[in-house]
Amino acid sequence: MSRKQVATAIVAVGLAALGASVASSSPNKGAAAGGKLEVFSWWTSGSENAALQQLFKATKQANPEIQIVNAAVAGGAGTNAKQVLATRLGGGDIPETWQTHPGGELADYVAQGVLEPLDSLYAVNGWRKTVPAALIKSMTYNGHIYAVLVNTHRANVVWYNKALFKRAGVTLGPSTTWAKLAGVATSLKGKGITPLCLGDKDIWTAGQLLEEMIVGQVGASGWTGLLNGSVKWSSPQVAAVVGHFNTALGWTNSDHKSQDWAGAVGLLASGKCAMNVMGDWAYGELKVKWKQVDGKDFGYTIIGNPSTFVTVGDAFVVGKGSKNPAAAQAWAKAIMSPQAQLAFNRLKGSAPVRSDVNVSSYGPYQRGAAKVLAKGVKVPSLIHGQASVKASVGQAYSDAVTLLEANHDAGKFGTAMDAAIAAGK
Amino acid sequence: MSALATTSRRVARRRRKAPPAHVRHGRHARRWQFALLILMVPFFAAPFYVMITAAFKTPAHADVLTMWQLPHPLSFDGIREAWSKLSPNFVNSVIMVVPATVISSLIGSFNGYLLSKFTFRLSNLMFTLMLVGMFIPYQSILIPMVKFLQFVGLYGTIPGLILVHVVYGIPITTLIFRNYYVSIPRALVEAASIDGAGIVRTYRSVILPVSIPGFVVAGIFQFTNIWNDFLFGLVVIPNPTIQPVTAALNNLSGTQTVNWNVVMAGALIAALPTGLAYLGLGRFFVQGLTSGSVK
Amino acid sequence: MPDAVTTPRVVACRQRRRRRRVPQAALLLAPSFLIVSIFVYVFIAYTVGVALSSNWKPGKADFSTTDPLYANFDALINNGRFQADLRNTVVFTLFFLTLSVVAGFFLAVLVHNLLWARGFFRGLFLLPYALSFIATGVVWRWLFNPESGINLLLRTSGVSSAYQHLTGHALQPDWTSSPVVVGDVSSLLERIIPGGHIIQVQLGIPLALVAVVLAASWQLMGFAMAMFLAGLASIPEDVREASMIDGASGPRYYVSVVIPLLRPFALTTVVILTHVALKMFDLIYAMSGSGIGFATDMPGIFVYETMFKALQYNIGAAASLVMLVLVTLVVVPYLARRGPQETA
Repeated sequence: MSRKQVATAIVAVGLAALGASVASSSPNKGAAAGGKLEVFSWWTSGSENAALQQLFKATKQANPEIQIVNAAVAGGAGTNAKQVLATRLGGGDIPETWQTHPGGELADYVAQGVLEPLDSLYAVNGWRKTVPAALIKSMTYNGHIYAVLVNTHRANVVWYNKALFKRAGVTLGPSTTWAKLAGVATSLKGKGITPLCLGDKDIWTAGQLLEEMIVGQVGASGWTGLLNGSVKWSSPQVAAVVGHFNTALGWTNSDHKSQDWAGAVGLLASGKCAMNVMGDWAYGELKVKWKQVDGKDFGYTIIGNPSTFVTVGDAFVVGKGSKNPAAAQAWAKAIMSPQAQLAFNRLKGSAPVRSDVNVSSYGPYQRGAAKVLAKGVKVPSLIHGQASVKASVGQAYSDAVTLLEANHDAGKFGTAMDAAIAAGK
Repeated sequence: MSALATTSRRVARRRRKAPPAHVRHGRHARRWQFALLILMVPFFAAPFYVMITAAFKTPAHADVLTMWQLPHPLSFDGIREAWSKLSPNFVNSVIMVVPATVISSLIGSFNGYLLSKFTFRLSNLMFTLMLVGMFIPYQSILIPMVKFLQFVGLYGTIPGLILVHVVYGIPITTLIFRNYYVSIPRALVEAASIDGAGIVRTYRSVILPVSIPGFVVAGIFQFTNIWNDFLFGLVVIPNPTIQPVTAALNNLSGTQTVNWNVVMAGALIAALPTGLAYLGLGRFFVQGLTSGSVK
Repeated sequence: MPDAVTTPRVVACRQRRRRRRVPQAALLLAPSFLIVSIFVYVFIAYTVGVALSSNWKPGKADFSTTDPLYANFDALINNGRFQADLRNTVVFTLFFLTLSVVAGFFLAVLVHNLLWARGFFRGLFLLPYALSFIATGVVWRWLFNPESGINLLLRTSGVSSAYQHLTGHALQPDWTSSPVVVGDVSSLLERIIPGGHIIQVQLGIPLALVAVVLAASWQLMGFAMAMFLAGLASIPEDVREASMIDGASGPRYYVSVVIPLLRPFALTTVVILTHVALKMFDLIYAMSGSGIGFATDMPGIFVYETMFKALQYNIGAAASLVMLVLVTLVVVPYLARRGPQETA
């Protein structure tokens, strides 16, 4: 290490210590922070960028002296951003705050020792009372909490085209089962309608379809068991769902392998196929891009227990050793404010994580989702990196689904996943 | 630049005066050849048709389902949004790509000259070791690279990015020039050396004047590669305001929502400088060697 | 090379001079050799450290090694996905190189022989090279969409029905959606080579790669054409006329005169395109992703996802080193053997 680097390191540690002391005292008094605040995310365009701007606005309102540097990097569902962030962490150039998923990814940052624990922020602001315990748990490692969540999307939603359902004379209630879905699919096919929209050029969409089918079948406790290894992926009940998944692949649009998730939503909106299993980011796509009316043009249902909420949350952390730790703390505080959460989630289409936010100004879908998030059973999405397993398990799951699409072999899939869970503990 | 332009005109004149002999023969064969070229046009033009029409469509219309349709209604929103997001970073790319291209081509030319005209012990080994640099996986060397740039104080700066592009360009430019200089007789170099010129002076007075075509080949290759890179741009320069235009281009597509009209418009806008470079220099790129080669 | 001024005295003098200059030339090459060495070998040494480590992370550079030392490489060899990637990269590189170089050569000849519109065709064939892979990947994904892409054109233009009429088979290629691997030799290999049982993938040609090869060649064929055009232009007119007098005409002229003269250009093109093929990432990532059963997956995608999605930096680094070593073994000795004299 050169002398310069040592000097930089000393200064950084000094600043961090200073920042920590400032931060630990500031939340009570609500003293405003100033200086540069670099926010590292993968939200760059359209509604996600508009939503991000709401977080900036809230931070600026509480801290007029702060200058925000928006260091967003798109691509690869956040993977490009993680790549750039990794080199910055490697070089010791640590941003004040960055976006991450609660779960294996967050745990990885904790293990690297690059995050500040946020226990005092949570204590001072009483967030433990307003954020659902399951979500708090997903951000807690070694007894400390390391992130704030700005939103939670629901992954386990089935969207359907009402006009096509009407043509086939089928309906779905607020929840459904595999048997009911299979019946609906048969009726749709009888009318020459492609039952299922899929765009799995990126494998995560097929992974999500299977995930929500499994959660719907085995329930929240079964899913938790699968993630912690107490239930086997090679068990007959999972094998049965994998069999259903293989059947469901036969219901899809023939170009599913060259469509992405948004393409599949487009197919649903334009009546080329009838149902799509997708997170509720599809809601914004249906409403804004395709000008569809909730309840008139499209409907939605849940596979299995309707009060089970498969979570996909976006979290922000406070980097340890950044140049302006006080600003990072101010950011975390500002984006957790009820106003910021309300404004952000209105544009993002997700539910605020605080259960004390008044969502009566939202549309019916979002109101419902927020209610289930506050009261229902929350389980983490594996394919979206929310589960408290190593990130490599999520990758192993994607890889297993990629192979499953080629060989349709439930046995091999189960064995691969059991091995991945065992290795990822 | 003006030297290039004069050579271009000279080449153009020579071409017009004397079409190649084989062209003068075989009118029949020529018709067949022309028909073959025409057959290739759809293959090359179809993706451009899709891109250009999509750039002028509304977001919902710029979609795979309607990819063959003409833009209706015609929308300039994509072009407008792409331009507003790309334009602040255009200048960064220009002040980065020009020096990086020129310096790496110059170094490659000098190396190519040394390696093709002076085979010394270890020269092949040194060349081989440098060539490996072409194939190194960029993803896994990013962290030591950042550490090196921090060590020399160039991290986060455009000169730092230029340095990275120059160094990783050296293997390819060296290869291009080494193979290019092979067509220049060694006797020419040796004649200069008998006249008492040193290695560097021989390079300046004998080699450099006949290298313009090589520079055009290497230059266009480097220009395209460096202009289109965004990984190094993002990693070397964290500050979004001085990142190259491709970083902004990458950010046109969101993580969850993508408006393809904006992405296609952005890709076309970002490709303009490179495309114009081809059109302007295409003649040299392609016919360069005759004008420069020593007969 | 025949040389009019090669008298014994000159030769002696030349040799003396060359001997004196050798160290000087080496010295002049040294600076760029040094900086490239830092950027290549020092950085690779770091990567080797990562690849051998048990748990290296960007924020916590822990270089303590695995036990046994080769554990990460062992995991890699037994990874079916990585095996598929190696298969794909070999198939892709061979087809892509062949198509781009051969078609690039023919395009160059055709364009070179044009009397007019030369600039138009040259520009058209070269322009794809200017575009960002991210956007062209999406366009090709649309074009190879089995419902609304090229297939729709084939259907509406009547080509599909004409083809069906003639052959009895439907003309509806699956393009990137195809899961088919033809010419599988894995079971044969498993029987004949020791340790062949670790092969988990079908070793053949994934048909989905055909579409990827077409897209990549579309983008780089123009570059190959340009290299060959430069080469064709460098052939003096008198060579052509001399061979005409010798009775070589048409194809024979190209086979016996042109192709040998273009060899240095072909070599440069092949090396550059190989380097492009091995780094092929953005285009395929945007176009087809990993494909059904990893039919279009590439080592670049594997390294990217293993490092930054699965956060297994050590395995990703090991994969990139395996790729580097394989390339170095195949490409570099070939280049090194060819001194500048041979290519002259």
